[in-house]
Amino acid sequence: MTIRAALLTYVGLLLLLALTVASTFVPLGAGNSLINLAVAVAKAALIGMVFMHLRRSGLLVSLTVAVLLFWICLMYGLTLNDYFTR
Amino acid sequence: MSAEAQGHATGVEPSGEFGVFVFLVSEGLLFSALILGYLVARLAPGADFAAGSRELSLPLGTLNTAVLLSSSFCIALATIWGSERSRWARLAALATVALGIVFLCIKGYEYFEEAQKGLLPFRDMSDRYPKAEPQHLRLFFDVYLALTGTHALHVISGIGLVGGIALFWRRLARPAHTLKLAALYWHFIDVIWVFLFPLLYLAR
Repeated sequence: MTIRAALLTYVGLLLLLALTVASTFVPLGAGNSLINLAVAVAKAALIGMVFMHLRRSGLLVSLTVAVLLFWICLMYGLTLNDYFTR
Repeated sequence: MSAEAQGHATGVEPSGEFGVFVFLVSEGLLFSALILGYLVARLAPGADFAAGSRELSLPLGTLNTAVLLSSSFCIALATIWGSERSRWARLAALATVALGIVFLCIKGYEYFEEAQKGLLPFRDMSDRYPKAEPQHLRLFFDVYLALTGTHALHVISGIGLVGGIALFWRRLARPAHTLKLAALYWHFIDVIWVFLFPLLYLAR
């Protein structure tokens, strides 16, 4: 990671923060939650890829993160399918 | 297994990085379970989380998010300068700690304001909201306290970790490397807040 990359990431994160806060003043119903979720995922991806070096990490670390995402999908999928199929 | 043999042919340097990520996965699952609790409470019939969210201070929440993002940028700079053996690394680590303390102060002030309004902690709010089904507001603030409280405990331990490395910089065998591992934890705390902020403050 270079200072330039870190700075660009930081500016990107602040712009995404401004976007998500600004979007709350536009009533879009469920669209607001979707925008917030998309922005949060984008911010997390920026922090993970650049600040946490996941872009250049080896197979073992990538696999570890994939395991986390897998368990989260399992936990949320099995719990929320009950709510959405009632 | 010798330290050199660890991580052989996996693309991982024998650095402790893998161990930190395994720890972060367990932390990630802890917060995922808490956030799932939030979602289940929010999806419950009649739950009015929007009313709870409107009681929170959006300006302070936004400011705190910016503070935490800045602290992540600071510790990213610290790791870059650390790998270049620059003396700025230690200063940037101290700036990260300072921003972490600012975050906690703002959060503490928010808790104080909410306590003044009678929203925290664990209060029955039927006197304050006689018509608005206060138990649903109560549910929001219980979940809010659990999520932000657990996060704040992580910020406190992060401050101890990064602050300790900055203070004992000269006594550590590989300070820049230790800081790099601590930075992973700090960024993780930031990622968690990135998800908590919209769930709690923007559910209006």
